[in-house]
Amino acid sequence: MTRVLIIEDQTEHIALVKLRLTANGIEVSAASTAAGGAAAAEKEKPDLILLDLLLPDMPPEEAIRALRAVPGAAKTPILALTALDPVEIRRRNLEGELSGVIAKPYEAKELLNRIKKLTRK
Amino acid sequence: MPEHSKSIKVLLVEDNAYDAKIVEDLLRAIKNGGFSLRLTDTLKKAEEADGQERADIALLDLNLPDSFGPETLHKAQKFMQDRPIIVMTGFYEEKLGVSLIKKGAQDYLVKGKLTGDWLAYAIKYSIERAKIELKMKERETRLRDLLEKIPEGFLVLHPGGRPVFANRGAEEIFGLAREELMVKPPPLEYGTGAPVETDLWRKDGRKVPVEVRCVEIQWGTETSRLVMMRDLTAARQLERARTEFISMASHELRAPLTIIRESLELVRDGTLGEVNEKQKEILRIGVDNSGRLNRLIDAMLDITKLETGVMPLYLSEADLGGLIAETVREHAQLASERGTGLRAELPPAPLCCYCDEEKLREVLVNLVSNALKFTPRGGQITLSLRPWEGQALICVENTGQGIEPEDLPRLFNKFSKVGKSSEPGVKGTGLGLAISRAITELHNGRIWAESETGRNCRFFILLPLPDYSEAAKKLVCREIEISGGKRRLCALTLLLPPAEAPRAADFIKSRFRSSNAMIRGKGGDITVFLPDAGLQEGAKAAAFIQKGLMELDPERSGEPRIIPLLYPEDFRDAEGYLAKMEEARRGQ
Repeated sequence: MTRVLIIEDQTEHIALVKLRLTANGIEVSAASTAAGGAAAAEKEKPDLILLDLLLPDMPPEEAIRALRAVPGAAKTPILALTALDPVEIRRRNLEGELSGVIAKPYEAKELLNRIKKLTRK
Repeated sequence: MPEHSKSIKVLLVEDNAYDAKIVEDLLRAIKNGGFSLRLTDTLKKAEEADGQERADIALLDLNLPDSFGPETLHKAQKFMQDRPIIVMTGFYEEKLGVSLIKKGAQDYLVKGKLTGDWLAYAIKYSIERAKIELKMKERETRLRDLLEKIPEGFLVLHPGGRPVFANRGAEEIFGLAREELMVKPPPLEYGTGAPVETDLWRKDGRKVPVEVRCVEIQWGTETSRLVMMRDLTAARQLERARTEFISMASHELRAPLTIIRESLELVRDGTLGEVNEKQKEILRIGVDNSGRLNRLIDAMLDITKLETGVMPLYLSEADLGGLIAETVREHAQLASERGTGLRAELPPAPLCCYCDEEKLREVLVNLVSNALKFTPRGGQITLSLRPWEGQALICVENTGQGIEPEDLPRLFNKFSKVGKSSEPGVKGTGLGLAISRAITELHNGRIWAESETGRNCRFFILLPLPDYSEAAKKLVCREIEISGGKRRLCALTLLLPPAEAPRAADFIKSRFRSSNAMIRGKGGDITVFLPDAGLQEGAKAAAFIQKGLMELDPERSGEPRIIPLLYPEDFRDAEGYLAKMEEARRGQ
């Protein structure tokens, strides 16, 4: 079973993603801060991390670095699920650090497809 | 009027009665002389006399009871100010004469050798020379004042780099007093050519973004360098505020919208249990309207990006006729449902240019959607294209009520709702025409509307038809400008088999967000521009693109070749970029 960790500070959004993914046979764990996410990534060893780029405890560059520094998670795909504007993502040069970006509001189908593609072994 | 008021008032300062008499007799003997003379024997009395009646000129003996030597000239200048002074002396001394003239005396005359005419000429010429000098001084003061009050910093450097002039603007930008500035100006890029944006570290620790321009000027006999500096702090703050607005508006609006949409979708698609048709229909309305809201957010952000010049731009060669034919095809169904005729009038030969096809399509779709909204049943919409003075003239015409003349100018403003739609339908964002205008201007074109009220309405777009090098040059200029902050720009050119290029371009547009500008040439080359990127970021981006292209087509033989060019190391302007690109290509 594919296991996904979602790091997102809006709990309502976590609840919706959980509903959507579990209905499609994906196991979901969640954290609401980047630091919490790094701890969860170490414990759970997810197949993929869904990352909101605007977290309360650190800017996106640092959040990505923190996740990459987790033992065993250096190669875990990180898919950004974000309402950040593409222009801002470009300005901050974030794309190269990520496995992909899905813009909010997203189509459920696209989210599922991208997760499936990135976790195919 | 008393006689002396018309005459030239001469103030003679001379303590030797005999000498005074000589001068007096000379002046009196001049026919139609027109001189009135006042005699004083000390400098103090001279000043008092001048205070009572202002003299036009002073004839000054240097050795007086209350003042002696060249110092006397200096003291007399204090009250005479810009009026001329002729120094009178008993013996001619060349060295003294030259030094007195240098100090501002108008002339230096020997009393015993004078003739009346000579003295008269000397007085008249001195007065005229003094007037000219005053005028020049006023002009100089005016220019200096201008230079001082202009907020820009001006610095003039002699060939060796020594400053010879600095204005107040320069003092303020550098945060240094003029004396300090003139001794050792802070190091800056002082090369002539295109303006350079750079950061200046001031002595007080503040970092000031400045634009520096240098030109050669003649300063005295030397060809010097005029350095003009503009403080960009305020401009940068405004830029930052705008990008922050884009970023925050995007997040604050899209995040809740995501939750609304996904909540509705989860119920509607039955993930949470069975839903009946009526419930599904209501949920569909909710989802549709969340879509409409998202379109509005996109449009608002698009207009902000267009206004701030950060709108992504993807250029390739397109046939404008094809674009119009396609737009007509796509709307044929809708037009026939509304009972409106829709057709294209195209020129026999294709009109091609380098443009952002998707954005121009958006403009055409905007105009056709508007036309469909405002054309009554049985009306006609015509899209036409024709060459016009080396440019392309596109016209979208529809029959119907038309637009009132007073509404025409504000048609392209944001949220200006003009006219009444003939049928209810999909609601617009109120930004379509504002976006259309901004996109047209992004292509250096012009858009306007004309209308015969009660009969028809015509929207015109006049577009230049740039070829590859013209389009590339404009794009390079824009990207150099955008990269203002760190003044770096990386251009990556991918050399691909021509058949592969369109797919690769699509991949870059949809997945590679690190760039917001791209140009695809006819030979299968794609250049992407990475603002604020140096060699390291460029290499990272190249790896990302190569990986993406391999995933796109795992069968492809080998990785695509990529040529990186860096600003400002490899090229400093658009011309330089094209030359370097040509060189790199030949080297392949």
